[in-house]
Amino acid sequence: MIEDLLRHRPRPEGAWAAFEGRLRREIRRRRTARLLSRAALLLLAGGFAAALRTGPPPASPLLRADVPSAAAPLFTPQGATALCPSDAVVLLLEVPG
Amino acid sequence: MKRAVFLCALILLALPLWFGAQGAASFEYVLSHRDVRSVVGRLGEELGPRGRISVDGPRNAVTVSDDPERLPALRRLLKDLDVPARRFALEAVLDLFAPRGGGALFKSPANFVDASEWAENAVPKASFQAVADLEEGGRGSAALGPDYRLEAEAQGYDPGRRRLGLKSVALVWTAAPTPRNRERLKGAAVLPEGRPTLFLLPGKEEAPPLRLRLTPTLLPSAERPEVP
Repeated sequence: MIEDLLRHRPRPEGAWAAFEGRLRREIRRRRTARLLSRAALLLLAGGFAAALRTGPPPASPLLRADVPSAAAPLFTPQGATALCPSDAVVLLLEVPG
Repeated sequence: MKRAVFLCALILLALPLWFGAQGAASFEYVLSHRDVRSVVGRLGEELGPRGRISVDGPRNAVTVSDDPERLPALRRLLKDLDVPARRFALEAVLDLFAPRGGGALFKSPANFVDASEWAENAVPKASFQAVADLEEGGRGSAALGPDYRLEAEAQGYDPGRRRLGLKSVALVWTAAPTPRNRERLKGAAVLPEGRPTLFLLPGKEEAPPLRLRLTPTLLPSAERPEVP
């Protein structure tokens, strides 16, 4: 594109400013394209490295057994309306010894 | 000019992060027995004010950053949590009481139970005992007499606090005359290991009052022949 512009450089002096503007725009476009292609290459390399680092999945399925939180209540009734009506009480206590 | 401004802004943004990171140390731990998601919550509770956790799901790894003096305890906790599924014996004792008129077994108002008095003085009409075999992440059940059955699904165990999480625990009255009263107790529970927990269930309609005592006991395994 730049080569084309230079080849067809306008002779009349008044058109020089327009030509220069077109030239600048083209240079900017090329610079942006170069930056984008470099970023894409970097991303690709990063992804490849991450995939290599991840390695194969574990051979056996891992156990998903959530450790109880310190704030977990001792008992959480499920289906409270059906199983724990308002007149029922579910009470827990730890008996020492 | 623009580049210089951009660099200055970048440095200004990075400075607080750099100062924040000063003094903090970190380590990475790859779990081999447990899903990393099942330990993150518990680990987060032990972090200091400056602590951070980042999880690498595909590698099943967790990176912990915190004050250097906290890191050994955090590493030890991860090591304790990352073990093959533990096995438990869930001992259940069910006491049946004779229904009394007007719910006299409980003090008024109706939603108040004098648990200590009841636990010490109430003499059951019948008593049944059974042991359910449970594994972390697994289910177990045990018959309590001819009419009741205990069903439980274990979740994780916290070795530091010695507490077993039960994803679900249910006491099923198999001989219930109406389906409405079939499940006398149903919910999720966190039980202390080696110590009994009482569930007191008042009678209602045709269902008698019950006292259920659950005691989970950690069983030894080949990897852990000595159970604390």
